[in-house]
Amino acid sequence: MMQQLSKLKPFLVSIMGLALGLLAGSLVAAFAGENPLDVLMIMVKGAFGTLHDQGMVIYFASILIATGLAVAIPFQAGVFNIGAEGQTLIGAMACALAALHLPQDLPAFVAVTVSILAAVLAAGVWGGIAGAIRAFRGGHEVIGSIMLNFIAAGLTGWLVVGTFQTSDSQNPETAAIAEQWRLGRFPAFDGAPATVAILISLMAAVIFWIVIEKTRPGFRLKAVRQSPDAAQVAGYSVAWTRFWAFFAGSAACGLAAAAMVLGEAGRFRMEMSEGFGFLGIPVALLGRGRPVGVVFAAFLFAALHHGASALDIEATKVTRDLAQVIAAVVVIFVVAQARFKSANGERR
Amino acid sequence: MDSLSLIELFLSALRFAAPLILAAVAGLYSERSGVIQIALEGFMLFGAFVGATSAHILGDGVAGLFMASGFGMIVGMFYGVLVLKLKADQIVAGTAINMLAWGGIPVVSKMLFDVTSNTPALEASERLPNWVPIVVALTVVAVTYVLIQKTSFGLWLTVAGEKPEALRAAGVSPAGVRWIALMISGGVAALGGALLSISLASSYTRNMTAGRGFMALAALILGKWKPIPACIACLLFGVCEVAQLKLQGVMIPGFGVVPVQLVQILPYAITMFLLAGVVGESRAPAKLGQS
Repeated sequence: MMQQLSKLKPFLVSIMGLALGLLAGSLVAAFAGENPLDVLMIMVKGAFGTLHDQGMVIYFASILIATGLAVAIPFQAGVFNIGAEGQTLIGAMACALAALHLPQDLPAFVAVTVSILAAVLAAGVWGGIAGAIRAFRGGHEVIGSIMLNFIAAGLTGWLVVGTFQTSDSQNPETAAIAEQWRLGRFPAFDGAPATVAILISLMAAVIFWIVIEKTRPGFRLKAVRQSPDAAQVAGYSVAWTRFWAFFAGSAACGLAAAAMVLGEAGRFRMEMSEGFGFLGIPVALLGRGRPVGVVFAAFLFAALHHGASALDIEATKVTRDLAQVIAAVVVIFVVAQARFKSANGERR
Repeated sequence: MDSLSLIELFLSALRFAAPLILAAVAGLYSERSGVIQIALEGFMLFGAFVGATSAHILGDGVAGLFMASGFGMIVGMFYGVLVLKLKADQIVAGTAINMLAWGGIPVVSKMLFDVTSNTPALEASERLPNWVPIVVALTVVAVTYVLIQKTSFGLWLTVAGEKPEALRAAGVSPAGVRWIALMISGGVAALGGALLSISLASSYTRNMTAGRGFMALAALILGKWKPIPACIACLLFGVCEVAQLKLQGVMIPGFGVVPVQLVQILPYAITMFLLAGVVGESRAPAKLGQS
């Protein structure tokens, strides 16, 4: 009985965190002079009102599963990745450049696969820089990964404005990728960019589950998080384990990038990530760093993100930023309740 | 270049470095006492917003500074509740504070001014003159230096981060010292943010701290958790920021005009190099993160 209860507790904490977040959001809305119930209704209707809205939620979920994994996977080894935003941008740039420069006579399946792999690899290498500095030099990964966010924004901005700017648009964006090389949209959602990207992201979550539950590397991750010293004695390389965990997490951002570039925009666009990398943090925390939890949390935050965008139009005193407040409260509650253990005790 | 313009250059670098110096000193109090301080960015943003808002409403820049650091202290205490009372993971809790600042400030800004992105521009009389950031920053560094070197509180601070059990044996509560350290940390970092919005700029704009809280942390590590070396490390970033302004649109023979995006990533790239190179050699307080 006690054991069942303790298994249930993480779930209850997440539910309560979410409830508290919504409550805080309602209070803020009330304080701003809106009727909280109206605000909630606008958000629910905004998220699920039409087939197109539901498709958008699926689209955002395919992104947030990936950025949530980007945080959850390194956390398995006790390192904290807050650079998913930059990793996604770099992955998106790599994805678009690959799709634009591959020989045009390639079969679509090959071209799309190569473009996705390019995104995954580029995102992984980009985050891997911060991971390597942490693992081998002891420089803090939180500082490193957030610096890489700024550098990624500058670098991709420079590339798109300076070199790959399309001539048929005034906006900072690359040329369009050939139609047949984009991810197929599910026809049911009224043209919304709900694509096979959601299946790819779900597959990534399944692989993550198999690795941590069934394989030796998965065991190694947990060993390094729970007791780096013991892991070292057992013959595991703590540094390499942390590095690969960081690399794998960052690489997941490539899937988010592909969902945006090949699924929605059909090109790289400056500022195309609407803070999805940062949203990965509440997704991973609400999902307690577990694959199933991340998937559920990603759908929840996808609905929250899309629902809140309706506030910009339909509410006068609050904007979509309300979703951010709710996310922050969720994180604060979950982190205060749960004994999350990152490797910060012996960082250098 | 004659010596007069060199001095001018130095002073403007110091002026740009001032918010960063304050943030680094803020981090110093917290981390010396054994608590990791990832929330500096959030403290600074809150300070920038509360400072500019108060200066606008009260019509006085100095009042803005006081309100900002007062509010920063409250946020610092809130961080204390999370990590000292509830024993939350310090890095994730710090990130939560940052997220609260990123998301919460636009919401409040919308309530007060009907826009999410900035506060109303301050009148010249409400802003603070050029020399204020320099004087405030150097004063705080000097006071911190004396406090750490000469007072018993400074000693407690260091022992709380190195050997808390010794402090307990001497009848001083390490947790008590950390509460005070976090309060000072919040107040000082918010002061840095307020200087940014009240003196260096003339209003709060969205995310105006642009990662300074994290750079300050890198400078602190580079400065080995000591006030004066950390201050010098921040100055390096100040020089970088001045260079950034001077480099924009400049022609370099054989290369062309330096692209503005590349110039802008300069301080972040330097931080990465420092993190990878020198910083690894620096020794943190023994109990950092374990409180």
